[in-house]
Amino acid sequence: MTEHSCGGPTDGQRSTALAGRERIRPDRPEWAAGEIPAHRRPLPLITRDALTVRTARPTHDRLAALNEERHVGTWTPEVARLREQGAAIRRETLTDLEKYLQQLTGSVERNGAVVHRAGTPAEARAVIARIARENGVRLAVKSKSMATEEIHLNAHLNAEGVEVVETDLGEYIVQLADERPSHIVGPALHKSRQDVTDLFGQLAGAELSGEPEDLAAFARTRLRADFKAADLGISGVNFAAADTGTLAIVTNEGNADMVTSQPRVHVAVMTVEKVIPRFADLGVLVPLLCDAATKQRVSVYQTLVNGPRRAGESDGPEQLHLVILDNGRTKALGTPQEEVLACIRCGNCQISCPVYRTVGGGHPYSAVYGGPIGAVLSPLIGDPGTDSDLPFLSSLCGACYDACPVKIPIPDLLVNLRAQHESAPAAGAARAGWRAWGLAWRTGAGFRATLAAARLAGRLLPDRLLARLPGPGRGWAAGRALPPLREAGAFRRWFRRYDERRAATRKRDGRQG
Amino acid sequence: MNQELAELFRDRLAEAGGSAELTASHDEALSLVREWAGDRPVLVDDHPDLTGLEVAGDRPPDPWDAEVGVTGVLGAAADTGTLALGPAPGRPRGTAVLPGTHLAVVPLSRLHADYAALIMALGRLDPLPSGLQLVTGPSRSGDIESAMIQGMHGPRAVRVAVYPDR
Repeated sequence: MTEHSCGGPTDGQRSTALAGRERIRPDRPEWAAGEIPAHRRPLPLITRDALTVRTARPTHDRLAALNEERHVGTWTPEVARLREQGAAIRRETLTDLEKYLQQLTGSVERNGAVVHRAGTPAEARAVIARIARENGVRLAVKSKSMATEEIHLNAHLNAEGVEVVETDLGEYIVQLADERPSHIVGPALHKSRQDVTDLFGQLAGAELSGEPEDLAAFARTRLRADFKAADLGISGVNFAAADTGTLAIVTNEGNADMVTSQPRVHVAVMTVEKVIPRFADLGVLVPLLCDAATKQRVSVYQTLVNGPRRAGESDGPEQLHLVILDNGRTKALGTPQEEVLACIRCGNCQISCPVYRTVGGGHPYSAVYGGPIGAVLSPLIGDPGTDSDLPFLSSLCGACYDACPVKIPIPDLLVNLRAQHESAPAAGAARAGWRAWGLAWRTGAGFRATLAAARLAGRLLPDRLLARLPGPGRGWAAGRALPPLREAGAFRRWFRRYDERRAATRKRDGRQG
Repeated sequence: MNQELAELFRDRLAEAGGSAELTASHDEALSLVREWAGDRPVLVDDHPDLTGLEVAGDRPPDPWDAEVGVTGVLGAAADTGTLALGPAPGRPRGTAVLPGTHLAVVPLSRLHADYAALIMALGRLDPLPSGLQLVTGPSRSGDIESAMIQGMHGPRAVRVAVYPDR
């Protein structure tokens, strides 16, 4: 496959991988966009739309196939042992997270790196933007990182004049499509190979072969040029060992090896719960993560970073920065919700979840993290009150608990969050309504009165009442249908007639007998 | 015991898409590597286990132009088929990831039974190198409809010669 001459970087643009991006015609629902709208529509409306988009069914089928193939929720005896050990290791740090973070900070600094603690996404973005500015960075290559998704780093650096290129193939695909990752580990699981062929074809301004090998080769060639040209490498962190200050990054593609070895500056971004007590724990956690995430014994690459390049070495970054982000997580410590901080981001709960599969992946959750773990984590992070309705996107079937490699009781955490949502002040009006309803139906007379009122309302009010509700009521109503009010009590009337007929028949039969 | 471990390593590396040959001596391992490398542009790490290796290909001035990278290892794990490499002067991180083919030699004395044992051994290194690269087979991606693609950003081929050293 060859690229046309228009494929090279143009003026002001250094990235080869993103050259031609302006030719891409976005084709995605609003709720799949990279930037999540500040005031999103109610979830029932989004999920209703999600079922009708073209990608929903094929995505469901792919996810269902993965769920079957991998026997998600079952564990071989060998991995079941790792699961017990891993679950214990992940809770060790939760008893005194700050102590482990201090220890990690000391170790990382001894290794010659700079540690930055950030309470909020804004603080994290500011630190990274400053590092980029101080080093005259114009092009950054990034290996997959959910923490940087959480702080919307790409948009921020772009605004600062820094191009950021996602180098994980799935992340590159969603970046080009101006979308968010729809799965923690497989960001482009909702894309078919035809979708990717079309997307890359638009980027190249030429027709491309639809073979996955060829598509990957296309991405490889373009991304290689950027690995070589980039001034800054940005990565996430899967595990950070407090005792040695080792930052472990797990990939299959090898992009983390590129990102952490070729650019002259490396910024690693982690959230507070990624710290683990000991380097040796990697021997348990890496195989456990890989089994849960992709059913591999281990992934192809584990990139362990112990500091910047040392004297005499010819590659590796001259500067290493570690950004440790809280974003609301430590609020959960000491509460039952702290269990969510044991998560190792394998994405297994997402694949196991019938709701996640049915709505076509994580996008309809309208949060950075979708699926069961997203429904627990998202309300915790960011502004209070945001995403508090996400825990209702679950059937509480428990598959996510079975699928969790570190045994997080996700269904329990969802129920806790539902209770919190219901007791929030905003739910006060709804509660008063339920209470009034309960009082009215406490007596037969009350119940019959509401039926009569409904019949009357059905005669007086227009049929398409819900469609005519004003303001926000219309949005709410668009996802709902009202039963025909005129027929209120129809079943009771039918039953009464049925009862009378049966009584009459019995009387007749009795006479005959 | 060592022979069994070596066979397990070979089988598990093959499952991950790479390949290993069990040789009778260090010399035999080196001559296999020379043969595998051919006359392609090559990067060879400055590693004691590679002393005496002569390869036909030129060393390109820009490491990105190399087609083959040859390394030694700090250790390996049999049950996963994993190689562990650490950077040092003369052993850049790029050797194992920039070229399309990665060739390595593994002495039996550094082949550990399992991944956890390899991690333990690496953790005992004092000082730890500035980085550690754990590599299990060729680079791959499953991001397009979960179809397995070999050779995404890193090498398409990983070939290992195992030799007895005691």
